[in-house]
Amino acid sequence: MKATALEQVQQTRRNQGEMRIADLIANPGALLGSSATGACLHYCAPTHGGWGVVRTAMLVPELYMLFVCPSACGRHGAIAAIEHGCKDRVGYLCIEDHEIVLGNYEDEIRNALPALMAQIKPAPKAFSIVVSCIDDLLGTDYDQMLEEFEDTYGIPFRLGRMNPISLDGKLPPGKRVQRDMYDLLQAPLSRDRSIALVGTFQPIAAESEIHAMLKAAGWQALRHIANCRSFEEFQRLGAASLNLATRPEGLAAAQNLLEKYGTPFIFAPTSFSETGILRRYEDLAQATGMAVDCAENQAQLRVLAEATRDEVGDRSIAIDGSATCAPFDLARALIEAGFNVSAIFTEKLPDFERPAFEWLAVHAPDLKVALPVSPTNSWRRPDTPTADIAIGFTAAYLTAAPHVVPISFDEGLYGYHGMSMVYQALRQSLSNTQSESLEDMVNAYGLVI
Amino acid sequence: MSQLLFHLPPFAADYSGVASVLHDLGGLVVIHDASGCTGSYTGYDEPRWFTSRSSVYCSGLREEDAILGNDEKLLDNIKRVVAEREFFFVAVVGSPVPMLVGFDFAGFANLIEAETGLPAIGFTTSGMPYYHVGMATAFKVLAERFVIDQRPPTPEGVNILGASPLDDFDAATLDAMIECLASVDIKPVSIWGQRSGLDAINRAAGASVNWVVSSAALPLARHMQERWGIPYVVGLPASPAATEQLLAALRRSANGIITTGSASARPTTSTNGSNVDICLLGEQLRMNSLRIALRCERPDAAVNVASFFSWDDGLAESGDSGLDGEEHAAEYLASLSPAVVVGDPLLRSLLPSHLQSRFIDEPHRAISGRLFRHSLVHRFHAEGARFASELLEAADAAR
Repeated sequence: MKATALEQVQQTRRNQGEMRIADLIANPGALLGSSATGACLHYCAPTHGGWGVVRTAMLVPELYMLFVCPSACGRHGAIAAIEHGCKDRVGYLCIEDHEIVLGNYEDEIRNALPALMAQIKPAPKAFSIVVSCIDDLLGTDYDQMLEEFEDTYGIPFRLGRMNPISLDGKLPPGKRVQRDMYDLLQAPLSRDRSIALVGTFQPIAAESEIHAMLKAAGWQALRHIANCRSFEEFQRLGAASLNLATRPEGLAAAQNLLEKYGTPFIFAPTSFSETGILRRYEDLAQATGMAVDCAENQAQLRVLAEATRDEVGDRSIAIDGSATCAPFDLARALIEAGFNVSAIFTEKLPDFERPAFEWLAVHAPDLKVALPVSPTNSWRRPDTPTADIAIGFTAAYLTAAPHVVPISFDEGLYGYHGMSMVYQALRQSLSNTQSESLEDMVNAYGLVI
Repeated sequence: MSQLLFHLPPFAADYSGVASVLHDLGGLVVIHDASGCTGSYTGYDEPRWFTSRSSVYCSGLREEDAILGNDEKLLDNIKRVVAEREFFFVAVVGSPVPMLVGFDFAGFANLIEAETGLPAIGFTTSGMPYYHVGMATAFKVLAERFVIDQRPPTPEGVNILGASPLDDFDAATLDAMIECLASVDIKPVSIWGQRSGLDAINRAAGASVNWVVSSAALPLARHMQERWGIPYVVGLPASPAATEQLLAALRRSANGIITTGSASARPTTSTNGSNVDICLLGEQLRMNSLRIALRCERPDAAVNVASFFSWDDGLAESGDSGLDGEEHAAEYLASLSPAVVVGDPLLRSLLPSHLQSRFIDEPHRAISGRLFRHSLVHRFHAEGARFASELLEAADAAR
């Protein structure tokens, strides 16, 4: 059957890696998800990346990582480790093709480890041997070797994987690394009235209302790995009575701790819209017994929203999925507050984003959804801005927006206070025009592939 | 044998060398990997990427595709992009996984040619050798595939071979080099490494001389000499005196007075009996040129050059060395016990603790990636002479 003119337009837009959200609603998989990204070569914007395996795993205090891989696989993580001041906790055993072909690089690890352990000062409290994509195909069994190392050195040894070849699988590197990190927690001797936050790279801001809400319900602390200064202190996370995953990266870790130690968990991802925040807090209330009375927070946020809208005016805003795991919900929040959101750059539509996605299709049908990895981005990247403000580095790069809100990976954001941080950053971005080049901002943040 | 890197990051890989050489040539370049290899090139090794519109992509290789040999998917994705935009060629660049599964790059390139009608090249890079290997391979393939034999000669035209951003040649440096050539009425026909498009590469056989500016381009220079009889001159204008020598050699070669050889990179004196010890760690040709600048100031300077990368014994002096890993580099430095060491800032960590050597930073993109991108200075002409004086003063002070 011949395609209608409208279908042809839609097909063209799909090829160009962007669609109106109203056109996408019937079949989001045409643009979002692994089937869509698998149907194109991938453009790798200079803003592509995140925390990466090294930086994430380095959150575990006193952990040493030895990458065993072709030298090229280690380069980005090593340079990023230097940028983040943790290269002294990462080493590389660069293997050659004949060692891979002959399957004897286990011997290389055994040979290298004594000399390496002698050099590491202070001695690590935990050790991770990290292999790369090729090992997914080789299927090496490391269990016996790791046990031997544990006996020899008296510290836990784990196998880690930095294997983007599994990105479309059930346990992609971002989830796997967190699972492996928290797998270093020993069985708790007793529980305390604390909650461990997993999935996020930074703790929720101390000013967030969630802390007071939990405290009022008798919870002593909302602990996060970034606040642990030693491996011993890290072990206190294992005593938590509840794990809270606020980003999907923490789900495998939380599931693993449930299976290993029976620690229950709740997945309550960051939200920004009033509806979304309230839903998260209601879910949390069920798991924690905390009371949800947010009228005052809501009222304060509305005042801030109005003041911010007065400053921002009709300026168009683009959002990308590196800023938050919930770009659709953030767009909804902004549109409900009267802002002009013009585009969302993302590759995914997770289930928790569906309600916001559907709301936007009805209330903002012309909102553009664009695939950051679309190959057309390399030649269609505009010389003149296509948005006035970008939330996230990738949106900034792909729209050439003059104002950048440098929010990344929901760091510190949660609840009403999280949205207030977005408003404050929006206002701040207006007075920070080009004071720092985007390239410098990206490098200063230290995005890792 | 495997290498343990305790201090240093792994260096820029062969696929970065290939992609870098192809960056400005108007081709569709696909790094056949999952994500990290392309990201290493675009995020850390390629300084042009932030402002680039070049079509360098990741194939988005996934486990199932690798295991099942689902090459059709890659072919379809390439055809989709080719249908959207005009390209002069297609290149598929290897990474560790395709190497492991024995991906047939040559066969796949033939398939692309048949399906798209475009010239296609497969590079069997594996992410294990360093960038210079990829650069040298890419140069050779370009020469074989795209340089036209029957060409109108360009009298007093020069090809600049090896001006790669991975060896820290930037736009300003290239402009300065071209200006230098203009002062003796020599015109560039093509630049291999960046800036020139495929049309310029097509005409390269018409040049009367090749100017080799990095050691990774030496095989190309030799190939061009053998095939088209183009003589080559090796070196960088690392001081006013060295510039004069170099330009004179280029002019002589361009005029057919000498038919081959290297000019300013050749040692002018022996290192024996000197009282100055400077060790230059870096790309061999760049450091050789700096040595020439040092000797222009002080002819008896004892200077050694060592490099982790492309190494040509013909350009080495006694005591120079190719380096094979951290341990070897530390042993080499300990054996020399130099007063001054010059090299990428990250190499400072290789100095054995008992050495009192002063370390002077000279960043190299292929080692430290984007870390020192604001600190790159090309030591040419007057700046080269100033830097040479600084090094000699440091060496004197250390003695």
